Amino acid sequence: MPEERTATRYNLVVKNSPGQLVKLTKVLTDAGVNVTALRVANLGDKASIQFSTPRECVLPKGLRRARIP
Amino acid sequence: MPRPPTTQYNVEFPSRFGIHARLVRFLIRKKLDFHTMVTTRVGSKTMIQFLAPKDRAFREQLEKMGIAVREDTVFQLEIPHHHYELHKLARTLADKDINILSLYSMVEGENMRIVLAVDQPANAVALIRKLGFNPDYTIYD
Repeated sequence: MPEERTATRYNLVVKNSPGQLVKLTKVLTDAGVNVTALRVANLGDKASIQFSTPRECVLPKGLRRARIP
Repeated sequence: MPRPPTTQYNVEFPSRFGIHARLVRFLIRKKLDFHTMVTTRVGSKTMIQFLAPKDRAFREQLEKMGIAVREDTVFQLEIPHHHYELHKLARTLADKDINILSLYSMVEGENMRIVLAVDQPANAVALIRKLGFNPDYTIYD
């Protein structure tokens, strides 16, 4: 039977400009976290980044330190 | 026969049930692949993104419903499912001031498949090739 894993989904609203996603991927790399899903959508002058990580990962501190959003 | 090129439609309309329902019925009649559909509501507007074959008549039918339509060139690539590979991709695009218009991903075994629309697709594809990946304008299900 496949192992059941729960995930946390994060929703970020950022400026719609180059370089926003790399701020997030830097936090993920520093924390050694693989996302299980990632989506970016353009909302005019803003963009939405949604991503999921395994439940046990704790990211909010790293996101706040990187000033995301 | 070669498949027609896929384009990403971005449609925007006032968040009213009537127009949303009409649009969904229309897309069902057109046998659209709903796996590629993303709906976002922002204030009084609803935006829906989906992939479909490029078709002028299809676009005109959407516009006749009072829906604003934008089309983006999309391509897909596969990268190893590792945080550093995703960071390398994001950093490469950011370093050349390439803006991501939309992105979605699927994890498939050891790899992550990414479908991407950017403001400079030709430049992005060339850069991604230099990273050793194989971007492709043909999007498969």
